[in-house]
Amino acid sequence: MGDLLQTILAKYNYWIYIILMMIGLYAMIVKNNLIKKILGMNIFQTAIILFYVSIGVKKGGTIPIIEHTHGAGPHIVHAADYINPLPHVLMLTAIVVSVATLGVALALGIKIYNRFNTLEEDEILTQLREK
Amino acid sequence: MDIAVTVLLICGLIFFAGGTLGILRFPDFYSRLHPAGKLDTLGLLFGMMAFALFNLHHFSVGTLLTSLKILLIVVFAFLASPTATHAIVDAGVRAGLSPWKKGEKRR
Amino acid sequence: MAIGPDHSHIGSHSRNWCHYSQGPAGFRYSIWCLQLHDVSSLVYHGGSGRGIHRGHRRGWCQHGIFCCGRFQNNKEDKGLKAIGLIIALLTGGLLIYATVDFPAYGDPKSAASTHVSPRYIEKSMEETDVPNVVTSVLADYRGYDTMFETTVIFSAGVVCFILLRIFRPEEPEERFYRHTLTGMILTVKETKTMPSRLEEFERIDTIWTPHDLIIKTLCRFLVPFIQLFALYVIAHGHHSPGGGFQGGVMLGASFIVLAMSHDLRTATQRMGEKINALLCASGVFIYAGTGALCLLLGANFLDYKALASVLHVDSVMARSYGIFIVEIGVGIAVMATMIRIYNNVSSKGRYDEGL
Repeated sequence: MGDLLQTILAKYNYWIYIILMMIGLYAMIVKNNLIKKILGMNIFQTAIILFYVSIGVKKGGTIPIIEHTHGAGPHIVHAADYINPLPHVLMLTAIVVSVATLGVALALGIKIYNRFNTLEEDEILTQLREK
Repeated sequence: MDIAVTVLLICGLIFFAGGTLGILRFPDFYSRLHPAGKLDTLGLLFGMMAFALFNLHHFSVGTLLTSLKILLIVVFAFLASPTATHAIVDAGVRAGLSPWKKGEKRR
Repeated sequence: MAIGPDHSHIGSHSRNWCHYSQGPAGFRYSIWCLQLHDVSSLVYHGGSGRGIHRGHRRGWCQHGIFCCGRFQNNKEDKGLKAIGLIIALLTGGLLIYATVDFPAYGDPKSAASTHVSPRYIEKSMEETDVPNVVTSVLADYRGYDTMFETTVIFSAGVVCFILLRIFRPEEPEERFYRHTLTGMILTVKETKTMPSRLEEFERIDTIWTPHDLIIKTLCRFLVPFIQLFALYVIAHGHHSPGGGFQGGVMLGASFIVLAMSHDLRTATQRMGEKINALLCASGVFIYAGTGALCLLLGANFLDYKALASVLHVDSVMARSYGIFIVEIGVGIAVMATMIRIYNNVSSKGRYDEGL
């Protein structure tokens, strides 16, 4: 029991974000409206971003901005005092990509609506089959 | 100084709690917007005043500037939050929502 | 244009308080007048186009708000729901099983924090004189990556433009002009020569809500402060959280606030479409141009040490200034793309009526 509690305390951040990812995946598969699918994709992307950022946390570390006084000389910096900045950097790229994908997906949604007059997937499939 | 900070913080918390209670308990869209808009903004004022006062523990020009910047946050929140509430109410009126009258059931 | 008080549906807000009636030439329009105001504040809502939403059971209204209460007719069939749930649970279970090998939360000796990352943290101040390690890694140590990221966002703006922009749309059959003094709305049918702004009349959108003084004034007042703060965030990316992307988004948001509170034509007068496209491309050009300049000066691509001879500083400060220049480029590109995506998506490519 203590062992299980230990495991949960060590890994609960990954589990929370995996649950959020699965909510996004479920929305992408199941929902009928195209806009809801797009939002599910956005939830999925946000969960992945949070997942990565949570990997870089260090116990007792502070934000990765080096403490410096104005004009002072260089002093020794210990890496254990600051949290890992690399996942933050990679996730900035991921956020930008997710915004770009959202913009393009909405533009495609508008084109689909102009063509089919509906945004529901089953009606679109019906119209396609009738062709 | 510490007593003033604590009193201001507790006042702010009372306003926030009252606002939350109001949102949960009021019967109508329009009446729910009253606590949401007003009490939250006022609670923000008290909270930020408490932070600004706490910042002035060791008095210097730097900390004075920081406290003034914190009070600037309050100025912008006072401008923006009531406008947002006004926009929400306006949208509700335009959509045709009628206000609640005494005796109707809770919406 | 029939204006009558019998179309009011006050109090039935829960379902179906739009009244749809067949108008001339296939138009559907719904007029609801507010009993709380007088007739002068009528809201005219006109549909446009080609017999849209026949039953109006599902989907969105043309203006994008849920004006019809009975729209959730989610016909997701049960089989798909079950399959989706099983897939999600299976994938989630597999991923949770895989986290057994992961390092514990907050472990300073985890594999992610040991190889390159301590070197970046320890050497960032003395090699680049930038305290914000995230900015120095983003723009200097991993600058090639960030350049292509800027290109990605530029191409997203270009894609939205290519997909949606219609340069010569079919003219709408009616335009609406509003007399500013009395508030009366004129419907002008299709004529050949129609100016867009007359003396006492202003052209309004199809879905138009009356001039709201408070929101217009406040948004006009707040826009310079938003822009100032955005420029502060870009410029202080070295010393505080921030940088090019964050500041660029806020700059773009300031124009979008203008477009939302006034109408799209006002915002397009401030930031024209051609200038916007030029800015978007020039942001990427600044970034790649800095890299090429370093190449021309003899060092590697995007190796900012070579800028020391151009800027007359030592090589450590040259890296700091190089980071600053590329952050400016990123900020400009992101701002222009945000405005472009908003303009194209909200007006469906026509640039005449926004949200």
